Amino acid sequence: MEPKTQTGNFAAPAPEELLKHLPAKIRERFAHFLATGDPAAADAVVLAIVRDHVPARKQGSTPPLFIDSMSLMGDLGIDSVSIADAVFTLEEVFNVSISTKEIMRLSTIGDLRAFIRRKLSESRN
Amino acid sequence: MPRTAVITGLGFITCIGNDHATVRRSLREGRHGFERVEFLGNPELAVKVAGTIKEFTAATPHWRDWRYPARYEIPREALRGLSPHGLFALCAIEQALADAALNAPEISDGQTGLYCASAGSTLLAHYHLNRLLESRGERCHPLSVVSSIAGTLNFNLAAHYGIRGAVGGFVAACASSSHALGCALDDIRLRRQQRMIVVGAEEATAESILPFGAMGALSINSDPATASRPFDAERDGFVGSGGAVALILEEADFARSRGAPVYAELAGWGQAADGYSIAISHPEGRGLADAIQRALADTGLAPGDIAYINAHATSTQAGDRSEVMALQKIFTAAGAHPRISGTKGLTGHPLSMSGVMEAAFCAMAIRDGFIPGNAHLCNPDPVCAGLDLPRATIDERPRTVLSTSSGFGGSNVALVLKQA
Repeated sequence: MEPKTQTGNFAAPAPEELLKHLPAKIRERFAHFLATGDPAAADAVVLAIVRDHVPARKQGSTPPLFIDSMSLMGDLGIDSVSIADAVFTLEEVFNVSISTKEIMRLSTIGDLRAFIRRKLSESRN
Repeated sequence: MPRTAVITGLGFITCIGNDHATVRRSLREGRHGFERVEFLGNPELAVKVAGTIKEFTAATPHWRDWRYPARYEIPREALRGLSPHGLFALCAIEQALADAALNAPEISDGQTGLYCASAGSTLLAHYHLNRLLESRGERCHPLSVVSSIAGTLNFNLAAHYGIRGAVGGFVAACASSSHALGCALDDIRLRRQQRMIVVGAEEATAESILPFGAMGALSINSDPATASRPFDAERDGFVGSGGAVALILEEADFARSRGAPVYAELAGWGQAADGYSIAISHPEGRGLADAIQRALADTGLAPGDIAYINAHATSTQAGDRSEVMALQKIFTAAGAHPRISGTKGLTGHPLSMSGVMEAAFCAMAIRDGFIPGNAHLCNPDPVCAGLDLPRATIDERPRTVLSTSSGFGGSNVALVLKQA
């Protein structure tokens, strides 16, 4: 078998697959969230996915901790296509559905955190 | 004062090597890049050989799973929109920039353009559309379009490198990157650009290669040492391959003023179509002969001035025969006997990237003083009578070279390169 010409797995990736390039502690937080539903653990994963979408040119000036007032586009330099990519990842990881209308209302870190918490709470109910 | 253009940088991700030195050695020593493969885990498939890309594992839709040499530092935001062949193309451009002694910021000067050639990523199109259809339209990745359709190379690479000059893509199947080179040359001659980057890239996956088997175009010879043998009487089809080749073309004075290294001059080109079939070459090579005549007219050269021809020669029965007819009509009939070789005997056929790859081989041959031989040619097809088809590499500098390409729909391109 020659893997170089073999196509990959065409099923939707498992959530853990989507997080495998992130730090181990983030994957641990995700496992903790799955086991307990702890919203603080989910929060850590959301912020890591956002940080993963900050472009390389902005990484150096991005503080180690996000604050809620930070704007995704203005402060973190994440363009609208990358926001759509980050939201798609969040949908896949947390098994939620987010509409384009809902995305349009998210402009800051705080908006996104509150929104995902609400979504997760809705999906658990 | 007519403007001329010179080749100042090359980059290679190919089945015969991922750097200049390895590619040169493979061409000189006749080392092929083929391996036995089992597509889709199906041992029953007749196609058993492909030109594989070493050091990379990228035949998967998820960029997180890709493996590539650590010498390429690619930011994550660039990876996310790329297809596997976009990854190859970016790595080839990185090499070409270094080879041309250029820094990435220098190419976002508005004087530099980017022309790309690929058929898009059938692997990613398959993956993303599969999810779209399975979810009845509810789930689709936001980057699915820009990572998969034909044009994915120019979308991604122009953004990544901040290119502000001419940007576009060429889709003429196996003639695509030769069209890209010809149009890049014209942009420099017409004073539209000072520098053009031309890149051709393709994946080597079941999705990109196997559909050609349904047309009967692929070799079913299971021996990597003989499956691709252009001009041989026993040839039975092409061997699919992929990768990326990037070439940097600069206006000659502009290049000299910055002390750029020069491989060769891209002196002119010609194109003509067969007007005959969607997939089969004209049986007498009508369009290709016209393209060669136009390239000679463009450069003011006679058939006898051409020292070496790097033929398109994919190793199919019909295609090679058609090309031979065109070469005999233009060269043999004029009493000219240039050396002719088909380097796809070593590389297989990487489709859209074939033209720029072979132009790069020609530039290397001119600068380094060798003519690649016809690997795997044992028993020349009698139809080749009168053509000079050396088997082994010749240590001889070809000062004027012709490179031909032919694609579906009967598109034909001939490029002329000269010692600068």
